[in-house]
Amino acid sequence: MFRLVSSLALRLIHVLYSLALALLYLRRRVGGRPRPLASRRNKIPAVLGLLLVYDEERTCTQDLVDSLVQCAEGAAAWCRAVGVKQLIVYDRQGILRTPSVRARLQLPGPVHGDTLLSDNLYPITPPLSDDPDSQTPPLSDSSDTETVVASALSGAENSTVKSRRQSSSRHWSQRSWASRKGSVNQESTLSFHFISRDSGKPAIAAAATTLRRNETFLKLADQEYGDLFQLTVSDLQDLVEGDHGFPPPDLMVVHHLTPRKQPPTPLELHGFPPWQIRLSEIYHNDLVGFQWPFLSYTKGRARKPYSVFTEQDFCAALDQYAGAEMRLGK
Amino acid sequence: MLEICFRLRIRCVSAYVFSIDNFKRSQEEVDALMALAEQSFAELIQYGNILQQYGVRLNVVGKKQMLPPNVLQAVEKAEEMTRHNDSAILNLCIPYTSRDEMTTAVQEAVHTSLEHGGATDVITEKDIDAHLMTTKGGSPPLDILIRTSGVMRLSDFLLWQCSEDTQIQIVKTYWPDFGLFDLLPIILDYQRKVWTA
Repeated sequence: MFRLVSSLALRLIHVLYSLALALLYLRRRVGGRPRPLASRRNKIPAVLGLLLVYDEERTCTQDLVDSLVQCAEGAAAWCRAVGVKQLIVYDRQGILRTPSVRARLQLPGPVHGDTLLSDNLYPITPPLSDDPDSQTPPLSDSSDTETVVASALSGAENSTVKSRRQSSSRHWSQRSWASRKGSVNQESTLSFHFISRDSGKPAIAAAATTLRRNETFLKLADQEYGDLFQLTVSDLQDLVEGDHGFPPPDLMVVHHLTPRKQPPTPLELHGFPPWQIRLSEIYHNDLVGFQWPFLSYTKGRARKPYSVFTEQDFCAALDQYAGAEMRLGK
Repeated sequence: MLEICFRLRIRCVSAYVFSIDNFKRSQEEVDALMALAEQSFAELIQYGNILQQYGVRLNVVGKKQMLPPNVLQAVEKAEEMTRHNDSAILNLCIPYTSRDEMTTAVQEAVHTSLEHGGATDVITEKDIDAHLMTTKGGSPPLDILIRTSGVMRLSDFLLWQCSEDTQIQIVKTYWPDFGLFDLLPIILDYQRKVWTA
């Protein structure tokens, strides 16, 4: 009996809570509009991330692809208008990374070479080809590993992996390679990264595998080498954010494409790469796409299968970013 | 708040106490905070009733070697006192950043792979996950992350753990004032998610 009463009480609390959320939603929808795109803001993100969320259990339809393309192109145009330098567009399944979809995209700037996929490994040395359109080459088989790692040992620039054998420095950063590769025109005002879930945890695991294989080679090469492998945050940062990765977004916008049937739900990150989001300002665009028939504010959007990211959404995100204070631990 | 959580049978609570980046503050402030930490751990050891009452295991998660020796000693004593408790877990992250945790996990995954050898030298996401400090302390997957003070950033806290389907709740209330009425809608949101899954 007590359980039944508790269960009914809990249900009643949930009904009241849903009504309260609906009222809050209405209040936010009729609230102040964001400032126009051309408004002067005290700060603009240099790197902007756009996380596009859709129902993965639904079949990927042409409508979804069209909506993703429209979101990416719209964001690109607005980013260029306000002076954003890099746009990172994330969709979990990597639909925007498929060749057929990439071919459709009309973008006003270069796209960075495909960010590392989980089944590729980070090459320690520059690739064989300087073709700016080439895919990131996988670490080749063991017969080539020796040459690859030896070349790395001879080059010493940025970060080094700690070792008691200080005479050799292992070079993980690929920045010198990028300047020769020329895949990104440094004079472009806006460049792009298209990423998926594979660009996150699987990429960090791939970096770990590369480091592990390198250690095996070094131990084989020098039987006296008994130092424990040590890795610093800077080392891993160079790998994950370097030329085979992507930079951390200053502002990350989470936008729901698939209409939802419940009041605004809490923010989730849907597999977005964890390394890069440590200090990102997050704007959760959770006011879009509800299909409650008795709420008219979304009628224009809700009738479409997907809610496309709009200029108004973009401006609201910029307004939030402009008002954010960064203390950086101090 | 801890007692409320344990009464609600929330099995694991992690709190961000002190960031590695906080060492950038003035030496005076850092010394004061470390003194406060030592005092808090000492009180915990002396009056650890709530932890023993609810069978809570205390884990201090972070780069402990950065702590002053006296604080480290108090930390180790507090952890030892609750090591055999298994009803709930309290992770105190001090001094901590998620990037440091991920880097340490990658490092240790490489060590483990080198030590064990074996047919494969591939390190997977699961290997890295298993070497996270929170996982090694027995923490389950993260269901809810609460950010107080209305800031819309994660500030290098539990990034690996919260990047999938964790509900991230931003509340305007500042931490000392965070109470049951702030927690209640968060619990209701989580229940709605579970019921509609």
